[in-house]
Amino acid sequence: MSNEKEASNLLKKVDYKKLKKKRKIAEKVFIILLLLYPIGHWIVFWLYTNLRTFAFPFMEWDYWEARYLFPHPEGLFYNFKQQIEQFFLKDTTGAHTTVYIAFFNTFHSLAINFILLPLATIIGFALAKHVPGEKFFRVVFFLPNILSTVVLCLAFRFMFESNTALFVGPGAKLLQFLGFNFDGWNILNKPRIWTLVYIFCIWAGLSINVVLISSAFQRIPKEIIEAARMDGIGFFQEFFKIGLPLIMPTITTFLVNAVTAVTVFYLQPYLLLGGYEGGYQTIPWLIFNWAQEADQSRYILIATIGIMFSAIMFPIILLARYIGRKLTPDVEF
Amino acid sequence: MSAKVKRTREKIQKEYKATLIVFCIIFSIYAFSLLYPIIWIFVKSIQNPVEFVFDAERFFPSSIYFGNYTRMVKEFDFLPMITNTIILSLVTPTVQVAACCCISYAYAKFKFKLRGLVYFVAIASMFIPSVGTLAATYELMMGLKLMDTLIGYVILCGTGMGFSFLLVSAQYMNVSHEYTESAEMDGASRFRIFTQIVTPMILPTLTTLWLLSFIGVWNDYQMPYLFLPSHHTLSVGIKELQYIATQSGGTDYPILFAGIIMVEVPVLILFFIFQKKILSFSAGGGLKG
Repeated sequence: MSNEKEASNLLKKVDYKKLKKKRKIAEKVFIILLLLYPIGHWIVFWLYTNLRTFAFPFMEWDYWEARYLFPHPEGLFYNFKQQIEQFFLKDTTGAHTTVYIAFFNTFHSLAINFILLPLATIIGFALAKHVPGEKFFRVVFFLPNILSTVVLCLAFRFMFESNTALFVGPGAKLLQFLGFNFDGWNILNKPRIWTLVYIFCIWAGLSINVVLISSAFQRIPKEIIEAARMDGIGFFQEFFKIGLPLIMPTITTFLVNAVTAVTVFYLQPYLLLGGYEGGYQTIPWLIFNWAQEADQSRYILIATIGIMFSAIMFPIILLARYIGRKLTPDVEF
Repeated sequence: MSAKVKRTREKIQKEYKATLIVFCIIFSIYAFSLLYPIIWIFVKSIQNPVEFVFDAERFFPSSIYFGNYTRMVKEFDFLPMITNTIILSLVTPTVQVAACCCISYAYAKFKFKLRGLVYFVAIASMFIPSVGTLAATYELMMGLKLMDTLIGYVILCGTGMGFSFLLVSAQYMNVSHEYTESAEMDGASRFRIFTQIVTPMILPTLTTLWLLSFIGVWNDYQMPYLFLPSHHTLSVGIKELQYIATQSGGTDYPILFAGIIMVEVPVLILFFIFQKKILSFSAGGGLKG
């Protein structure tokens, strides 16, 4: 009895409000500790770099005093104005500027993805329909996603190498055997080089897209497919009338990703051409090259072009999202 | 069911199967095109360089020659490159997963004032295209004296936002509060509940996330090339070796092939061991490695 009394006396002495407050403070401290590194990292490496990038175009680098001048002495928007004026300039031979050529080269990525996406969708559908050897194909198709882009590009380059002083790759041999006048990576032959870049991007890019899209098709309830089959639906009818409309949200995501991919398109042509620049550069490639120069005036140029390019791409990305949503039927499963 | 309808259905079924067989043939050609370069590079990596140049028509080497591998290790700074790659590939994913766990756990398990802002921060990089931030990042790395240091690379890439955050926070939300409450009743601290009770429950997801990140860092070209100019990783080293091989008149190509095989073997082994996990994770989570 006395123990129970002692316990109840002790409980009465406990200040619950204080305890609750203490617990709340301890919880807050714990949350702050959890967020300290991730948020700190984001502030420094994402927020700061983005804000700095937005500030750069309004500055000028003063070489004599080795400091940035803000705002630009020639006017706040001078760097933008200058880039727009220079964009359309031609040299004495009538050739366009590097930025002009790079700008249009960048959009090859869009064309590549517009070929890649429908192909990946139909192949992904066939894979989801349990093609004989499906498991094997899934593993092999995933390989390009596991291998380094450098290795894939080198392997593809070797396949179509046709420099007799070095060696002739098996792909080039095959094309020559089939009667094509194929002389490999002839940098003067622009349509050829871009065709090879297109083939590479589709060859390497199909893999992960096919695996992901086929998984989306496999998530469609079997009852829907079976009911359609009972009605005597064929392969392509099933694809166009049932499969495709039901996975449109996934396709929309891929469509938006395909458009966004334009903003980072450089590694494939850069690696396939061994870093050769003449006429093949893209905007991200220019940015990649200029960043290495560690020159402050280049930083301003990179940021100006980067922001102008983002401003062009942003409505295109929104449009892709809008089109994707419009094409998505209002169905749930 | 009339006989006509039955016949039509059978015909459609046959056509369906025939279409699948056609796709099977197309898939086989595509799979062959993916595997052939790897096999070709491997076969050529064990061929004598002289034979590679002067007997180019021969596919299989007349004898197995490992000299290309030893030359790759001895003459082309292979050891420093693989050391750098191993360090970065082990440490960076660990930091990434740890950072991802911290922010995801805070978001999933606690209600606090700036919770909405944390969500925005975690997914901001997914929908705001950052073209041109490379210059600011380069300047920042120089300013912080992190340029050309391994720790700099780890810090720069050591973030767990975007898809990983969405995935891990969803996993944490799925862990019942009952576990946390009973652990609290037993007197476990918040840190202990986080590290020893809740996080081990989502370990399979974290392991796959770590594996994919490991492969990503192992294969990364752009970031080490830009931010580690004097600490080459294997991906960067192999690219540089391409120039040397081109200048050798062809005889150094088998060494380059040996290098490529040595770069990719660890990744391929990992992939084949964990292929089920990686495939199902990538297919379900839509996460590109």
